[in-house]
Amino acid sequence: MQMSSTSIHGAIDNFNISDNEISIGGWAFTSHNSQKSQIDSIEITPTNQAASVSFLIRADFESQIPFGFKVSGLSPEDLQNLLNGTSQLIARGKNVEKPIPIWIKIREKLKEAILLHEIKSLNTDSLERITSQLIGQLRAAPQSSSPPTTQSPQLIPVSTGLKSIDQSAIIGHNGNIFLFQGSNHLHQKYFEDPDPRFVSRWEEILKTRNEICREFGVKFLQTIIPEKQSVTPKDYPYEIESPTKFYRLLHEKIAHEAWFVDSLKALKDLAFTNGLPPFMKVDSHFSIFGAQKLINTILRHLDLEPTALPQNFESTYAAGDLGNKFGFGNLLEQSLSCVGPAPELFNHRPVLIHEFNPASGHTGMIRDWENLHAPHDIAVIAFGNSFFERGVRPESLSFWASRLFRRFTFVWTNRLDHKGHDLKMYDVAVCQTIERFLTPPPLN
Amino acid sequence: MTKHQIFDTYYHLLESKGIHDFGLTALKIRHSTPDFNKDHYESQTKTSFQSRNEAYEHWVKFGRRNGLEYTPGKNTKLKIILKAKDEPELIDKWIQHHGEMVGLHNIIILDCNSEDRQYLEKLNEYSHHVLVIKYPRYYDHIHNTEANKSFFSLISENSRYAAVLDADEFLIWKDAQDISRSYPGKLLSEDTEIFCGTWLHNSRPPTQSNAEIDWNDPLNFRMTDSDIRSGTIAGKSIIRSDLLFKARHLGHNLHVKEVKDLTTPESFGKFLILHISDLGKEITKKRCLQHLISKKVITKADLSSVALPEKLARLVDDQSIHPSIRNYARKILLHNSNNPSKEADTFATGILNSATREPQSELVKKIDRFDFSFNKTP
Repeated sequence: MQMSSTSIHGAIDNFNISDNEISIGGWAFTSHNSQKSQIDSIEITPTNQAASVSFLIRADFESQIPFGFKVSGLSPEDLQNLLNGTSQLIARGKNVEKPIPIWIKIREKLKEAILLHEIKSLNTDSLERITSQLIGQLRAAPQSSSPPTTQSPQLIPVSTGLKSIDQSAIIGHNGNIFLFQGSNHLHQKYFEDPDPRFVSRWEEILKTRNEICREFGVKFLQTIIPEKQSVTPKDYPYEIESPTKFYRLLHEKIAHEAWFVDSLKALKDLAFTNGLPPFMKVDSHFSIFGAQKLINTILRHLDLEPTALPQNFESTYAAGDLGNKFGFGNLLEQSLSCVGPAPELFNHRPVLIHEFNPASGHTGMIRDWENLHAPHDIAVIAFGNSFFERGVRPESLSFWASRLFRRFTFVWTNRLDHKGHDLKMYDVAVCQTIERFLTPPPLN
Repeated sequence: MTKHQIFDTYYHLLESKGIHDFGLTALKIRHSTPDFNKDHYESQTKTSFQSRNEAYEHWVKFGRRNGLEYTPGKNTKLKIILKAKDEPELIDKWIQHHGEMVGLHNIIILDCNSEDRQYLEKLNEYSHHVLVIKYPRYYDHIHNTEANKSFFSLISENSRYAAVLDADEFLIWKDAQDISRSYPGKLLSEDTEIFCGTWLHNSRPPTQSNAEIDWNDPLNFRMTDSDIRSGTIAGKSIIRSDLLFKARHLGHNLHVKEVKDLTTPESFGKFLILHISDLGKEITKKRCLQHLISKKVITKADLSSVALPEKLARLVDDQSIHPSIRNYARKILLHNSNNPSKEADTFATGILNSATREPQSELVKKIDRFDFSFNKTP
């Protein structure tokens, strides 16, 4: 006589990782004599008090019995533990219990999603630390006798002109990646005739900003950072007339203004006279040389001594905001980072006296530094974007400004926010935008 | 000194792939080449070092300037700098010739804003073995050592001698009754401050097919006294690296007073430069057309148009157009090769394609008899 036994079948086949919720889902049932039944319970072991389980009907089972389940209230560590087997999701029913495995087809996606979530939730300091660790691992990899792992940088052939699936980035010449279309339709902007009314509106806005600053007794400076392809068009895979027509028209109108900091000219000088790269190769932002050049151009507008560039560097592998858009891992560049002895300026660490981080996105973010050792006894406020950043890396303008000025405040916004910030406290207000943001004009 | 304190910009740039930015030559970049062989270097310096790093540091500070071998078969005696823009017909032969002479680690390509994408891809390939740097300024400015201080400082710190050549210039040297393209160790171990390489111009264009040079055929060069004289004035110099800034100019021999002042009788008649100044009508035409396309004066479609000569003629006549553009158009329309010289005034050589040395007794006799003291007369 043959005994029939009860068994449990199931799999974790979906997950959700967002700022609001981390959960996993799947299906499970007990089987006895080919009869499927709902399982009695599901729990994570070792026990996780925060996790809650719900059962649900899944359309793919064509049954009104809730074979589906969802486990909510998890943390990234819980998911990591499930992936590496430190914890298990146990299903119980009819005196049997069994761990529910993660479906093989979602394992890699889940790992990637956890990593992305962790990166997103890092603050800049810890991101810097982890990046340094990763760079250390990457640098150590070639000397290792073990076979290459996914952490080792590999040379892979990439065709010039290759676009990312979402069209946001394109491979250029000599290892450069450029923003291509993206939400601003950048490439198109090089061929579009701008609406002259928009150009005039921008001119008006900038002049108004100058007037507002004058009323507050603050010196106003405005800079419009050109796109990478506007500075080094020969590395761009398409023939373009650079900068964009909009930029050119606006430039013609405001180039003579004392408040205009001509970053296009400064960055072209850097590339073609000093022979240094203004931008990183796999990133849309400045290299250390570009950031320092623009800061020095601002210092010149303020009749202040330019700051020196560190002379000692080492080569590192660096990732950027454009290198991960092509679906074959993260394209890295060999870039240079400073090593000691650094100029005195680098040792004068500013003190962060106030910070504000918006609930989502960047707009509204504030960093406020004080630096009693700063070489220039002035207070500067800057309204700008990711070119200023959080001041951790010398590729960002805030890094330099927070070390150069006694007080430096950065507000991440496209407006001169004179209502939200008391301009009278400052000697200088710098507004910064980027070429692709030139249309439509901001509302103030 | 610890391992982490070694800064070696030259070898960092050499061993990193890609076309490098010129400004990087001004930086100190942490690096240590795996090629450096402590034991071999110790045998060269007859000194014992406590560690590889100590030996390396010595090499960086002293050994390189003196051209010492740092691994068997590799030294830093002579760096040859190629100044070039879009030279697809000549680059391969140039690299092969000079690479075999001094080693690829002693070759530097200064790319002067090349626009031909295929050529740039080729440079990228070369960058796996040769130092390739993007020169951002007007190409003739490179000869001014003071104006390119960081670059020439790097060269002088990394080499005993240095020269700047164009892509149509091939350095050879006189070895007894022969000409040679092998490593000129004999000459470079002398303490001569400057060698004045004498240009020898080709007397007829090289054989070519499909606008490509056939290097299998011997090339013919002029060797009259007048050629040797003018070729010595305008030829290219090899200057001891510690004198690069005193000389102010690294390029033509006797165009700059400071360079001329460095010369001694020992400077002349030792190095020769085969100057393929006449590349023939087809290649000249192709090169000039490429220049005009890159300057957007004509399009690729114009190349197959019957109206092209007319268009070029209009460019030549148009006074409002930049002289260099008019000159390219003129060259395409009017190209004539050098007047063929009498056979007695020329020599044929296969040195660029065959043995590393070749008997050339007639040429050697002419050079040996030539009175190079003309340059000292006011």
